[in-house]
Amino acid sequence: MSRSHRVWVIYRKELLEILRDRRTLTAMVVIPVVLYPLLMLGFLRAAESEEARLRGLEFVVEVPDERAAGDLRAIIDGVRRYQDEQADQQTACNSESPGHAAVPTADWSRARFDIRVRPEDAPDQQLGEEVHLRVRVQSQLSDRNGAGPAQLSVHITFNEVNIKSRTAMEELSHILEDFRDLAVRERVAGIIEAHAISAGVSPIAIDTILEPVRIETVSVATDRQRGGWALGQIIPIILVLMTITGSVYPAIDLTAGERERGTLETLMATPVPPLQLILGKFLVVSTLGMLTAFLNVASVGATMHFSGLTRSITHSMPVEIPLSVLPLILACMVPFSLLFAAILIAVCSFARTFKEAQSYVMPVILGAMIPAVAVTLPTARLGGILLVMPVGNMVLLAREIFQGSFLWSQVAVVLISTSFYAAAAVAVAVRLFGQEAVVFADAGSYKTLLLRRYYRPSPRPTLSQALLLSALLFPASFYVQSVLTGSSDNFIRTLGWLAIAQFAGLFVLLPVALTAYYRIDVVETFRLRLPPARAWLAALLLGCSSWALAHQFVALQTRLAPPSDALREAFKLIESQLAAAPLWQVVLLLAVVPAVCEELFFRGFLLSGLAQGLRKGSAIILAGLVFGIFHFIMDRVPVTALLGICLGYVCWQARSIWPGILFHALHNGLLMVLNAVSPETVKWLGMPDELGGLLPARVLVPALALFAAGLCLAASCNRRAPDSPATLPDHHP
Amino acid sequence: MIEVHDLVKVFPTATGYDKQAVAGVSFTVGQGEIYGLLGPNGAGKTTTLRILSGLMKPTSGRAIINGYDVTANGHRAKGSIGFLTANTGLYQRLSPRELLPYFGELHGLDRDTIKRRVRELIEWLDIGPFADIRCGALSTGQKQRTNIARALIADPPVLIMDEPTLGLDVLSNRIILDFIRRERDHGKAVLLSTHYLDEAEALCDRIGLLHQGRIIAEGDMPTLRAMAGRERLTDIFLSLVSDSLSPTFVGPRPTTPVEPVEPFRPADCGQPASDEGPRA
Repeated sequence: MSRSHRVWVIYRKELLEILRDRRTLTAMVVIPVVLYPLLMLGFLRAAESEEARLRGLEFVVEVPDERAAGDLRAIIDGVRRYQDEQADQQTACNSESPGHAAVPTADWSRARFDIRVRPEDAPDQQLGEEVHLRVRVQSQLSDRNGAGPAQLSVHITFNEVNIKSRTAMEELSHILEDFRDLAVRERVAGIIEAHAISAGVSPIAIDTILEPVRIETVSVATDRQRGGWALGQIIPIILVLMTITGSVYPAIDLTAGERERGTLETLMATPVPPLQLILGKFLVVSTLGMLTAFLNVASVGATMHFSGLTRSITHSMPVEIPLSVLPLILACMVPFSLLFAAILIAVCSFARTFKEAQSYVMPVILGAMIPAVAVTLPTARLGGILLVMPVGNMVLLAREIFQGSFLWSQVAVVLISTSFYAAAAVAVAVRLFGQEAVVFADAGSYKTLLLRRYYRPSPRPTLSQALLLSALLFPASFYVQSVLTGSSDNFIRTLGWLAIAQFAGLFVLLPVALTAYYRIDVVETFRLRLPPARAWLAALLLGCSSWALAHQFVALQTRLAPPSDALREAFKLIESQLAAAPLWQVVLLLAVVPAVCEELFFRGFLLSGLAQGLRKGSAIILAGLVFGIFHFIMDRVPVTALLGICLGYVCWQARSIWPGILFHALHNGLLMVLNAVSPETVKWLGMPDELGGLLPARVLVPALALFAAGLCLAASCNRRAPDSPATLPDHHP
Repeated sequence: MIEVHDLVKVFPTATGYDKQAVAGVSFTVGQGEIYGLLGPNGAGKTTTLRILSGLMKPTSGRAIINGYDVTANGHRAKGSIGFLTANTGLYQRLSPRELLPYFGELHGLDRDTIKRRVRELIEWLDIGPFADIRCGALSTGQKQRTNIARALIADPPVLIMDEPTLGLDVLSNRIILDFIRRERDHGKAVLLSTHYLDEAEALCDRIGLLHQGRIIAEGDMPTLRAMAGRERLTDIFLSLVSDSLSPTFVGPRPTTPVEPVEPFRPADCGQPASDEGPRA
């Protein structure tokens, strides 16, 4: 039976079993489809009805004397009368010209007030329940037509912590503000009229005085963008958190649950490798995570739309739901759901009981919530380190996709980094799942998984160690590169720091330290043995010709997909700086250091680790792809990956890293050295000045021939020395 | 069929001292033979059986099942074993009729063979009346019968059973013991561990007495009777165990090693399993 069929058998059975569990169905279907909409709608309705109830209340206002009561009643009645007149006029106006904007009658306060005179001997009771406000009115309304305009001062006492008292204050303030506006309008009208009469001119329009600056704002957002924006605020975080939440229960049930019920022992006794068991299980977990997320999003989206929440977010502007982006968002969620399925399975594989697993899962959920919530700030953009921040990058990407403002390069970085983390998490899960210390409580301690003394000396790192280290190095390199390239305009200085931090630190020291700690053979892992002589010759031929093929590849690619102007500018700036720097510095920093360090990590540690679980071809291709991706410039990933595959092949055939270092250094540095030493040779080679310029055939054809000869020589290395002690195993899982 | 040579298993413990659970066990079980591995609690029976069934890796020594080394060729060895313990659980939400084909597929059987084996096992073990009830709702005896059918689905040449009759009623017990005999008669090698000494006496062709990680006596019933000078297996067992603790006992001395032992190297038992790679 093929591997994939076995994984499918496990997947089918696990899915069937877990879907028969009431707990899964409750968590996955009942809660999102029934409970959330009910809760959301219920809460909205309750809030609306409470607000309506409050606005409909008759508020009790105490005033000190009858005169104040009369004044206040006059104010309220005056405002109400004006509002009624305006509403009548508006209705008449609307029936004549339906397109006219409506007066915002909704903003007018309709609250009722019971104005009472406070008896002098009344006890000093708390404002809120029986009496809601106390109001003092200074100055008299009747004085208004006296000498000069009088000022009315209304002093409102309310209880801030009592909702009724506070609402009463707000309602009364609204009325008083309307009254103030009316008074202003009336007084200014009087002044204008008096002025016009005295000057013998026609009165100017009152609105030019009261509103000398008229502000109008117009949004250019389409209905679809508005809908995307509104959904982008809420849906991504629900999507991400629900994928995780939906994965939790199946992950526990399929690992710790299985162990607790004794079926893990049964399963481990079948002739199925742990990788296939884990794959079957983790595909189930991620399927259920995705399903839960999808149901949640559909349910919340529908509830938001039909309950009017979307309209309230967009201030009642028309919206259109951007349904067409949903497939892209769901596709992006696939690696993310795989990542969390793998993390949860790895974490739960540690647990011996369901309860233990539950307590391990809590920190994972909290850990995922921190970046998810951190990026919900409206100002957070998908860029820089956030591009490779697990969870956070997915929330931001989903938001950008909803808003239609994403770049495909962002999608690529987010998906690649997430897939990287997912692969590493799967590798760790495979390592933990079925460990003796995990399956059998009496079979020793977890220390065996971590402490050095329990590690048996091994010739090469495991697949999981290789993937885990790559997953750790990916965001670390990305961070180091973005910090360093952003910190200085001096490219040579940046390269110097890069050589120390990224190349020496991340690509050499870290893998070497890990190798030493876990008792892995350093010589074998990094393939430090000397190669056969023909491997050196092969590397020389390949290194002398690969630059031409790479140039041609990039030129053709540039014609198909021209690079951005910013990238062209950046390349020009770098070229001018390189031309000004001393040759030894350029060769050291651009050719020697990267060649040595990258070969040690990618063809040393990574390829050795990948060879433990993959066939020769898959291991070389995967190591080459990882090498390409680690260069982070999307336009250069294909050519670097191809170079990485060739380097991996040479290294595998030569069973040594040294020819690869020569090949790599020549590839990077040959043209630079030629350019500095003998510019006329470079001119003869016909190197075009512009990006996208092709090489002449007189250069390209010999280069192709040399490259092919190099590959043939490399291929012959392995055949000639079958009994070499450094023979790489060709593992077939 | 089963060959065990000087098997050692050391568990690292949280205290820093290592515990030697199996201290150099050797025995063989031939085709058409039932071998009983008996011993008090903590003697190392379960660990030995777990190593043989590929659930644990030996610290040193070799175990060969049906010609396959359990370390070097673990999956082939596992494919030759029907493994059953009192702890091997069943999927609660699947019925026997769903569960048996699943394990058949995991063993790589084709569709027709699975159908035939499921039909045969359901008939032989009298599973029919409860074949469509989910395992969670079955009685202990019904579960154990299903479990046996599960272990036998691929018709493996070797059966490894750790207390298969634990907690069963007389009727289920009888069905299972008859079945073990029948499998023996069909040429299978059966390795059995049990605490029921009467059962072992009646069932086993040969018996190995395991105590503190070592086999202190081995042979068929007449041999054991001659060694201990007792008639019943219970008396033989008690006598040999107490002898092994006396200072004059000349057999393999039980040890309580507390020092970490030399780390296991794959070379100790052949090449590392190609499908798992070396452990790191």
